[in-house]
Parts: sequence; C-alpha cells; structure tokens
Amino acid sequence: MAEVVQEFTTDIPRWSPHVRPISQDAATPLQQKSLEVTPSNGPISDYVLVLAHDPETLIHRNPLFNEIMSGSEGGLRRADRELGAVGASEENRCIFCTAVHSKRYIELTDQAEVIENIFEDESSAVLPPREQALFDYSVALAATPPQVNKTHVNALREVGLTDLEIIDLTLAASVFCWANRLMETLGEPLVRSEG
Amino acid sequence: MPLDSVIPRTAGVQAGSPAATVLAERERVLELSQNSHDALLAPTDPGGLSLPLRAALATRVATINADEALIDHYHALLDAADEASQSIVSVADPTYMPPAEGDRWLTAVVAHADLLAIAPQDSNKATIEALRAAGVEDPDIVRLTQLVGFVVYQARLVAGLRLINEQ
Repeated sequence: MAEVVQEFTTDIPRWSPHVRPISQDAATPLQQKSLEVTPSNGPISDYVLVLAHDPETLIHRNPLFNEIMSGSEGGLRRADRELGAVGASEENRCIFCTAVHSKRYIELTDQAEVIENIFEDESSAVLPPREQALFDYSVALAATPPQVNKTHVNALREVGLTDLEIIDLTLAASVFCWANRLMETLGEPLVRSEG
Repeated sequence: MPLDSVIPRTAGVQAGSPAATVLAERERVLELSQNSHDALLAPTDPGGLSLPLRAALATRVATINADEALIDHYHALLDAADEASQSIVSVADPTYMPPAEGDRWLTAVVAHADLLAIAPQDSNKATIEALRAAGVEDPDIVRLTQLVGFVVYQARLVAGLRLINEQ
C-alpha cells in the first residue's frame, strides 16, 4: 500500500479519496453540470467527483475558486495569489495543496528558495521583505480564530500593496482555508508510485 | 452585486468606504460567494443535513472563529428556521456536545464539524470511517465539509475587509 505523505514537498502526491467519488455514468443532470467547470480547469479528478455529492454547492464553488486564483482582472499578480495559497496551506498543514501551489509559485517566479525556507521553518520562515509581508499575513489569516491585525496590513502597504491587492491576497488565503479542509479530510496524499 | 450581499453585509462594509471601492472590482467573487452561501444554508436538496442544523452548525463555526457579525447572521437564520428542535439549537454553542449515549448521528456530525473548524489536519481515514459507522452518509459528509469550509472562508474574508476600512 502506498505511503501517506507527511512532510511538505513540491512532488505532487496522489490524492486518494476516503469518500467514494460519484460515478460519472450515473450522475444526475445537476451533477453533470457541476462538473463542467473544474479547479484550475484541470481534468475531472476523483476530488471533483467526491465534491459532486453536493452539486448545488460545487456548481458555484469551482467557478469561485477559479475567479479568485486566476480570474479577477488587475489586482494582485498570479504568483502572489499562489503565495497566499501556500501560506494558508502551510498553516493548515495541507500537504497536497502546499505541494500543488508551491510548485506553481516556483514555476511563476523561479524563487525556489522562498519555498525551501517555508518548508524548513514553516510559519517562522524568514523571507525577502515583500514575500515576508504576504506570507505572514496569509499565515495569520489562516489561524483559528484569524489573527490578522493592523500591523500585518501596514506591512503589506509598506511593501507597496494597494487595497485591491490586499483583498486579492485575502481571497486567495481564505479560499485555501476552505480548500484545505476539503483536501485533508475527504482524502489523503499518497506517495506516487514510479512510472 | 450590491453591498447588501452576504460578504459585505457581514463585514459591515459601508458605501463609499475603501473596502466598498475595491469590492466594486470583485463583483463576480461576491456573487459566487453569495450563491455558495445560499447553496449551503438554503439548498433545494438538503440531504440529511436539515436547514436548522446547517444554521446551527454555521453559528457554531462562526463562534469558534470569534466573529460576532457572523454569529449574529447565522443565529438569525437559526431563529427564523421552523421546526428547530432544542437539541439542534444547542448545537450552535461550541461548548455544548450532544450526549454520546443520545443521537449517535448528531454527535458524530458535531464532532466532525469541530475537527474541520479547528484541526482539519488531524483528520484521517479512520475519522471518515467513524462518521460512516455512526450512520452519516457520504453525500452528507461532503455537505458538512463544504458548509464548515465556507464559513471558515467567510470569517477570514470579512476580517480582511474590516482591516482595509480601519486605516
């Protein structure tokens, strides 16, 4: 049996569901419609087929996720939204989301050292000033209850973020506090077998 | 989407404020957030999670997140719900746990809502198997997870919007 991944990594694990995915052949019309938009426009995965047990929610949730991460014209750049996702996912210890979004962050920025520092020191990671302000805000937002305060927002403004960019970062970190809860409870990240 | 939709309303965003200005550029997000809220709190097919139970669980998660405006919002939905039994109303308070010797299904649902809100990383395969053993069906596990996830998202988004307006 494949091993559950316990440590942060950029090697994307295989997500194995605990809840049985719906059968696409037996899907109701509403379930089929809820599968028309997938997260990041990827293939119809087991994850999406598990969420299709509640099509009334899924039909809005996937478009909301995509709007926050890659839609929403102007505002915060894509890479910074990914850093918000990584900050929340690290705080929630979601191995799967952290892997997917730290890999995407590195692809967009070439800043592998930012991710290496986060994996090493987690929420106390020391980063360049701009990345530090974004990461610290996202981590504080992900705490329960949220721990964000004026100091965090002032730090974002000091590194040049506008109000719109701060809201985009808030949206990215917040939607991952939601996504993390789906990923880490409805299934688990397994080591991918060779080949 | 006007400022009376659920996110700006629970964040207390007033017309003309800095947060209102940026939200005018994120109307699609507000609309999809409202739709998600409605699908979770007032679905056409609630499955095994009744509307009053959903409002009570949302109030519980809002309380765990210490957000007064969200507590008020979800408690008002609970107050407005017909047929909310005393045991459902009690669920709104996170210090209350349904007695283990009582309704096993409700006890399992409430315990899982708490785990989702507070420590989702502690969930594993056995957690889901325990829910099933208590009679919670797969579609209801997904509905419960989405419900808690949405309130957790909302609590953080409104916190950020209020901070924008504080300066």
